[in-house]
Amino acid sequence: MVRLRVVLVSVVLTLLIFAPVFGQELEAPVEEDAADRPTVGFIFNTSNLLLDIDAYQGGFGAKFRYPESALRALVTLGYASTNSNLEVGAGVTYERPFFTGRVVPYWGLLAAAVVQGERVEVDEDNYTQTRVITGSAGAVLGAEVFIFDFLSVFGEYQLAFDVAHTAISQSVDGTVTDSSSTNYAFGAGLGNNASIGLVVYLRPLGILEAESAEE
Amino acid sequence: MRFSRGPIRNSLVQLSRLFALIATALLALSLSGCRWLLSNSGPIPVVVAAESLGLAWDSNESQLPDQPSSVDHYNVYYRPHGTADWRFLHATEDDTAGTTIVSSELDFGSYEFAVEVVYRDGTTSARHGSSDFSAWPTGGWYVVWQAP
Repeated sequence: MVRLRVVLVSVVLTLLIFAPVFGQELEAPVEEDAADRPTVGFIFNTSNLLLDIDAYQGGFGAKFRYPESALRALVTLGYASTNSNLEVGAGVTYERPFFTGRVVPYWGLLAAAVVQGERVEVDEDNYTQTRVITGSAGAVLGAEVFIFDFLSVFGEYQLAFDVAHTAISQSVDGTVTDSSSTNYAFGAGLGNNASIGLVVYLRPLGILEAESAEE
Repeated sequence: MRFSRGPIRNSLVQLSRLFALIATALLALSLSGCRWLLSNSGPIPVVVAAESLGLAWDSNESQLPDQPSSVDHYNVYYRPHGTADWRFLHATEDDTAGTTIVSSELDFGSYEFAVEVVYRDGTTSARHGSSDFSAWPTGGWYVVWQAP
């Protein structure tokens, strides 16, 4: 793992140092008729500046960048047979930039829902079954910084309202007890799971090229 | 870099409208009492009928090993459900993110638990309690501990 991280950091540093030298060879030409089509990118999370890449909020993330807006989509899916832990979730964030350039500050709206289930079983008469449904809605305020035309990092604040409905079914020696509770939380804080987001675009956006031309 | 005031002003207007909408919705939610939402709220009880119970939590281990900010051990606290003051229960022997509580150190009853990280430089983190919204199961829980 450490070796992988070292290799990754080396590759990123090499790109950062030498990209200006052979940037033309690295970057594919920007298509003229592609202005209205969304540019698709994959989103990753990094927990620190060593770019230790992790899944985007524990799932698969994609970004669709349009000329005047962007859409982030998140899908989580997981299952573990040891405790029958199942997690299915989906979320979407709509972004509107204040202006575009190498630094793109933006605001946006988010909505997400996650369903989680878990069953811890000693035997058929002794088990605990948990089901949680969580919904989130709110607003984000953040900035995306382009390192290259195809690579950016972003961080954001979040003002979100979360509602969680939890239901637990417990059986002790065959006596089953059901209980449920609904709670909510509202507040501002770091969004994006309090980590840095990394977007790898599948097509160069031409933002840095346009900026260089203006200068 | 392009810098246009028009789009920024429009965005700020939209942003302020959005926050006004959210604030209005929350105010309406609070004033209405939102009975369907709050009728059955609070930490959920988890029944344990055993001589011991296990607690586990997510580790917040430093990415770089052997740093002052690395986890040395955890302090475990408890409080009877419905009370405010935390009482120290025990410290874990190492940085393992879990512990076992036996009935000889704590009487059977209803309890909430909390953990705090003790870092190698001696500083501690904020306590994270079982009744916090971000606990698992989400929304918080407390243990109803009974004799087997």
